[in-house]
Amino acid sequence: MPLSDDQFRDIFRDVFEHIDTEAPDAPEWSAITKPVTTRPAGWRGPAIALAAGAAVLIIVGVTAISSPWFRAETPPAASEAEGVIVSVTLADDIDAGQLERVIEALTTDPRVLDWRYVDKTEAYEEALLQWAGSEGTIRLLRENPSLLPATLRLLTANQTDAKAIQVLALEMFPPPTFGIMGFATARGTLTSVDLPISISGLHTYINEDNGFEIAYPVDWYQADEILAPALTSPPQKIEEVFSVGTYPLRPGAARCPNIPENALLDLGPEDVLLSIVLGGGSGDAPWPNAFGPDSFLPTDVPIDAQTCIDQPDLDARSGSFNLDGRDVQVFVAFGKFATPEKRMQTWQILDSFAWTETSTTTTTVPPASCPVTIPPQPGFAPPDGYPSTPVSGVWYGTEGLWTTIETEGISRPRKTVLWSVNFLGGREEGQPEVDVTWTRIDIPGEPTSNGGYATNAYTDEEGWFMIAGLDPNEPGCWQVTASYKGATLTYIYLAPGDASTTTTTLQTAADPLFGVEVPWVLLFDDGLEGILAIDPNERIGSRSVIDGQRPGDQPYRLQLANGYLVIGWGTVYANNVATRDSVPLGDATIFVPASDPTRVWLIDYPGGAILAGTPQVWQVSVSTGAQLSEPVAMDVDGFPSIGTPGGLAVETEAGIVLWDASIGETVDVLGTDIGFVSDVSRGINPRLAWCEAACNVLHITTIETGQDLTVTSPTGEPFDARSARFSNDQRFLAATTGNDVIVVDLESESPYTAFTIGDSTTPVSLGWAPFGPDLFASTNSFQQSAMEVAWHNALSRDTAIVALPFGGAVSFVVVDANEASGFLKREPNKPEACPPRPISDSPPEICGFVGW
Amino acid sequence: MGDRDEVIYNTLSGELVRYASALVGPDDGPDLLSAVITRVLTKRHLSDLDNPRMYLFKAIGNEARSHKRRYVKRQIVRLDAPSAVAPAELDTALDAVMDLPTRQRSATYLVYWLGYTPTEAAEAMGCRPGTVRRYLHLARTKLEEVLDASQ
Repeated sequence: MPLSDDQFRDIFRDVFEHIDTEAPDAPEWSAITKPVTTRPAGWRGPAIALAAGAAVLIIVGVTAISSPWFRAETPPAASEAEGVIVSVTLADDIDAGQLERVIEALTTDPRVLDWRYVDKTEAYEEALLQWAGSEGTIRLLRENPSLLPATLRLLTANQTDAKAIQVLALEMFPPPTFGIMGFATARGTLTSVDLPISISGLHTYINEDNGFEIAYPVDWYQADEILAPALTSPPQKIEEVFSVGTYPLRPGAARCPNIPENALLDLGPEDVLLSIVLGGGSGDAPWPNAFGPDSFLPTDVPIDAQTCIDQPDLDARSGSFNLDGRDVQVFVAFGKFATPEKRMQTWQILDSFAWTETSTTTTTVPPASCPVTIPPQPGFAPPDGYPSTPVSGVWYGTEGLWTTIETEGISRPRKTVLWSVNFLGGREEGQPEVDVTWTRIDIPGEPTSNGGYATNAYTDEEGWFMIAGLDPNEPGCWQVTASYKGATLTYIYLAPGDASTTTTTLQTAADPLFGVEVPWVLLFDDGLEGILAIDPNERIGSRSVIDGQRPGDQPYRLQLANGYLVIGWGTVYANNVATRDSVPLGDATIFVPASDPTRVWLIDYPGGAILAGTPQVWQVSVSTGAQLSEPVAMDVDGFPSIGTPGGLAVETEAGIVLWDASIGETVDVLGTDIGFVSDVSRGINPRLAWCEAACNVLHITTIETGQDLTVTSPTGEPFDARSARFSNDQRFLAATTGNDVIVVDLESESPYTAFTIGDSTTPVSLGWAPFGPDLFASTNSFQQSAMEVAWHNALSRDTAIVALPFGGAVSFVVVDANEASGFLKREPNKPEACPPRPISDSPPEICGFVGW
Repeated sequence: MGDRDEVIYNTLSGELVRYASALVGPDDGPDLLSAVITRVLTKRHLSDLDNPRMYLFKAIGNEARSHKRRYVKRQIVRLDAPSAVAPAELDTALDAVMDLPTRQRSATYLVYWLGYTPTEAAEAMGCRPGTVRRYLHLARTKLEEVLDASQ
C-alpha cells in the first residue's frame, strides 16, 4: 500500500533523529584554528588516493599504445575496507551526449558507491605526478600528452560488484560502438566525485587585441583588469595581458605599482598566481618547449615582490622570454604549500600560450568613401602643463579643444576624451558642458549625440580632461563634432567591423560553394514530402522523398537526433541518415526533441490537433523506436516546446514552465510573460535558450542551477522568437534579429553581429555543424525559386553567402558529408528539372543535379 | 575577527556536525566539518560571510560528495526509541536513507528533519527548488521500494 506524504515524513524524521542522536560533538574551535602543519583532517592527497587506478592505466596505456583496446587488469584481492575501482576507459571520440548517457547509466547503479570522471587532461596530470621519478615515462607522456584515455572511475564495495558493473557496462554499451574502450580495475579509494564544469576542464582565453591564446583550468580565476597598475599601454609598450590564479584576484597596489601587490597579498598558502606581460623585457631566453622551475634563472627571483609584500619566503619567479620574436614576461608566485598538481597546472598553462594566426597580419585600409582624418606630422602641441604626447595615438585639435586620434584614422569604439585649456578641472566643472555628435557619413541616418552630458577625469600622465560619452558601437565611417566654450573640433574615423571576411557571390562551378572546403552536407525540408540535399564542396544537389514526411504545420518538421532524421506528425518516423532506413516511432500528434540526443518526446493530444486537450507524453529511442517511458498526462496550459532533463519546457502565457515527467509536476517557471523556447544545449549542465514578450533579451539559463545569462542584440533589435540554436559543442549560440545573425561566444559571453542574410521579407533558419564552429543560415524559399545560404566560422569569423537556384527550402539540418551519400546523386539535370512533387515515392528515388 | 569567528562557529557547530554526520556518518562528521572550516578560514573570516549558516551547509554538502560514503552504513546502529515504524523497518529505512546519493540525503535531511522549505533547502544546497523537490521524490520512491521489498 503506498505511503502517504505524512508517513514518509515520519519515517525520514525517525531516521534522522536517530542519526542526530548518534552524531558526536563538533570539534573545538581551538582544535580547528591551531597552526596547520599538516593537511586538515579529512584531506586525502590525490597522488596517494589515485595511485592504484592511475598506475594500472599507465602501465596498460604505455604497453599497448597502438591498440584501440585496453586489457582488463585483474586487481589484487580487495579487502572489504578497500573497495574496488572499475576504470571505464573512454574512447577519444566520445561526445558529450554519449558521455552523459554512460555516466547516468553506470553511476546510478546501487552497487556503485562513488564515482569520478577523469578527463584526459587530469589523467595526464595524474600520470606526471605518479611517474615523477621515471624520466623516460615522463618524457613519453610529455611527447604524447593525449596518450592516456579519459576514464569514468566507479568505486564498488567488492570485487564481485566490480565484475557485475563491468558486465552491466558491456551489455549497455558494447565497445567500441559507444565510446567505451575497455576496463581496468584496481584497489583504492576515490576522493572526489565532483563533475568537471566542462569535459575538457580547460577554458581557452583568446586575446584578439594582442593575438594570443592560452588555456587554464576552469576552476581558476582570471583577472578582469590589470593587476599591476604601473604596467600600462604605449608609449612604454608594456602591457599586462593575462593574469590567472587559484583564488579571486584583487587588482591594484599601494607601494609597488610594478607588481600585482594586492593579488600577492591575498595569495594563500596553497594558492598560485600567474601573470603575463607583453613587451618591456630583454626577451633573451627562448620560450621553453615545456615550462618548469628550471625555465627560470636563479636570479629571476623578483626581489621587489618579496620585499613589497613582506613575505621573505615567497616562492616567486619572473622571467623574460622570446617567442617568435616578441617579448613575453612571465611572473609566477606559489604559496608555501601549493600542491604539486597546482604547480604542474601552472606550467601547463604557460605551455598552452600561443600566438594566434591573425595576430600580426590584420590590416584594414579605409575605403575611399570614408575620408578619415589623418593627423598632420608633427601633430598639435598642447601648451605647457600638458604632456607633449598622449598615451595612445597623437594629439589633434586646438588649444580650445583637442583630443587624440589614431594615425591611420581607424579606431574601434572608445570613450570620447577631450582636453581644453578652458577646462579648469573636475573640482570646478564636475560635468563640463561639452556637446558631441556622431554622424555616419557612409550611409544616410540620424546623428547621435551625448545629450550634452559629460564628466571629468584625471590622470598623472594627462592631467584633467573631459569624457563625453562613448563612440557608437557600430562599424562605419563616423564624423565627430565636439564643441566646448566656443571651440569646435571635427574629425572623421573609420570603425571597422569584426575581423572577418564576408563574401556574397555565386562562385564558379569549379570552386567549393563557400570558397573553402567544409565537410558537411545540408539537408533541407522542402515543406512537402521531401528532402533537398546540398553538398557544398562537390556542388551536388538532390531531391528525394522521405518516409513519413508530409505537409503540415508541426513545430519540428525535420530534426537530427543521433544520426537519424526525425520527421512527421500523426505517425512519427526516424530515418537513418546513412542508410535511409526508416522506423516508425509511434502514433502521436507531434514530436519534440529530447534533452537526450538519442531520444525524442512524442506528444499526443486527445483531439488530434496541437493544444486540443491534455496531451499524453512519452519518450522513444530514435534508433530502435522503443518506448522508453510510460505515457503521462502533461496537465500544463501551454505548448510543450522542447525536452529538458527529465521533462519538458512548456511555453505558456506566463513564462516557461519546466515540467518534470517523473513526478508529473511543474518544478520551476522561468519568466513571467508569454514565453518562447528556442533550444536546449545537450551534454552536461544543459542550458535553455528562451525569451519572453518582445524578446528584447535572450535568456540562457542553466537548468540545474538557474544561473541566467542574458544577451541583448548588438543591433538593438529584438531577437526572433524561437530562433536561437546552440552549437553542438555548446561553445556558441546563434540567433536572428530579422535578417541579422547574432552569435554569442558562451565562453566570453560576448555577442557579435556575424552577418546579414536575405531581406526583411524572408525568414531565416539557422543550423550548426555536428561539431565545431561552422554555422549555416538559409532564407526560406518555400514557393520561391531561389534562396541564400550562408556559412560562417564562429572562431575565425569568416563568412560566405551564396545565392542558390533552389526553391522549396524551409528549414534544414547539417550532417557529416560521409554519412549523407544516401541523399545525394550526381546527375546532369538542372535544378528546375527536379521539382519537389513529381518524384516517385515508391520506392523513393533521387533526382540529382550538378554544376550550379 | 577571530573572536567573532569563534562565536559564529560555536553557535553553528552543533547543527553543522549533525548535518555532516547525516551525510558521511558519525565517525567522519567532525573531520568533515573541520576540513570545511579550515578551508574557509584560509580564504576569509566567517564573519565576512553574508549568511554563514547557509554557506557552511552548502560547503558541507559539497565536501560530503567527496567523501567515502561506504563507511557510513556500518556505523549506523538501530535505535530503540519509539518511532513511526517498527524496529526492523527502521533498520531497513536507515540503510535505505544512508544508501541514498548524498544530494538526495541532503534534501531529505534539510526538508524533513530541519523543516526547511524546498526554497530554503535549495539555497543551502546551491540548486533550484525544483531540483530539491525532484530529489525528495526520488528519495521517497527509493524508500518505498526498499520498504516494499522488505515486507
